[in-house]
Amino acid sequence: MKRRTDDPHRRFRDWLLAGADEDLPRDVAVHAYVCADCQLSTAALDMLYATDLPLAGPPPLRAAAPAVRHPMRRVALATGGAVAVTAVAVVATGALRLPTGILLGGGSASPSGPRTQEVLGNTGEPEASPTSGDPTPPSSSQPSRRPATPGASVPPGTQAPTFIPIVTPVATQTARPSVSGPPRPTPATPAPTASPTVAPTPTPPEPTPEPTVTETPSPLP
Amino acid sequence: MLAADLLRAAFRDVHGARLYGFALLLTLGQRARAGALAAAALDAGAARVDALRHPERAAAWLRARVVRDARGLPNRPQSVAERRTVLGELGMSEAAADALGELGADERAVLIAAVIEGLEIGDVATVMGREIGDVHRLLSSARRRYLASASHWLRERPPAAIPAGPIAARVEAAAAWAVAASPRGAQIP
Repeated sequence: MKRRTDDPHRRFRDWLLAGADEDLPRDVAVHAYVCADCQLSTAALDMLYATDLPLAGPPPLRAAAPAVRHPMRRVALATGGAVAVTAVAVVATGALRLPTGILLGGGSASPSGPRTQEVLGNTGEPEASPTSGDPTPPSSSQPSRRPATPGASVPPGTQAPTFIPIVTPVATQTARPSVSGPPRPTPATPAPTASPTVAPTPTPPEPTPEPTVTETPSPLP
Repeated sequence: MLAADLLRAAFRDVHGARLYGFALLLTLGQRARAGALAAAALDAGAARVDALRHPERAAAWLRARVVRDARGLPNRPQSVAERRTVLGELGMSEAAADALGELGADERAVLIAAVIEGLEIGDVATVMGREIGDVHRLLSSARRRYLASASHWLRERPPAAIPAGPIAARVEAAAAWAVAASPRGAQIP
């Protein structure tokens, strides 16, 4: 009995779900007309038909393009950004290294300390030999060899191993004052301009470290 | 050049409002997104207006474009109040708006195209970019889910008066005809 009363519900619902296009059976129509549940189902679908789309009005003429985001777009953007940053970094690094290379090559890029040292090493060495070479008189023959080595302007850490095998222990003594720690060259630089009498005062402490240096080259060869 | 511009303007006039309404329903009332989708589809359609002279084919093509572009958009949280307000301006009740929000995007699109807009099933297949058999299954599923949700909504909050619509009118007419045709009068099951 109960099944019989439920049947019109189901049949009416099936009719709705099929699109409500076919003819409605009489008994189902009479049932749906008076059944509260079926009326709600009818109203639910009728609410869709009540929608009037043209009420939306015309769309904006030039709206922003829809933000359709392809999954690869973000990856491409990130990759492009990374490449750009890398390129900028490479260019910046090159720009920073350029003056250094000029300095190392003996160019005239910046009037800094190492450059003046090199100029002194190249041109003033024979004159400086009396001042810096005061402690070691036999070095008078060696300065001619020292300017020939391009490592004269190279920083101390890199220079020592390169020319130690070439230069005799005496030559290292003359090289040390100009190449050794940064505080020492500054007292050594005024020496060429000043008279030779000024030079001996800073140089006396130098000879004491010299013997330690002379020991290192001998085991290398 | 002038004729082409006029043709594009006419194309926009013919399809613009309904397409925007379609996009509003599809996006559940997100105006900016719907406007962008509709405008982009109209621009693309106007560029090929010669191939879209048939109004129904053009309508299907434009909606297909909107549906396709909407699929590429990320989900965005949206307030129920905004949805109800915007869709209410199109004449949609709160129950229908909430039930529509329960559906997936494809179910929503097929329900709007087939039921609200009344497009033929072939055009709905064009809109969805699917075979007709798939569209039938999708439409049946969308109707079932929508009906369950909206009926539940109405049961929970019964309206003061049930609005009359085309289906209610058909039911009433069929019932009246059944009662009148019955020799013994109405026998309500």
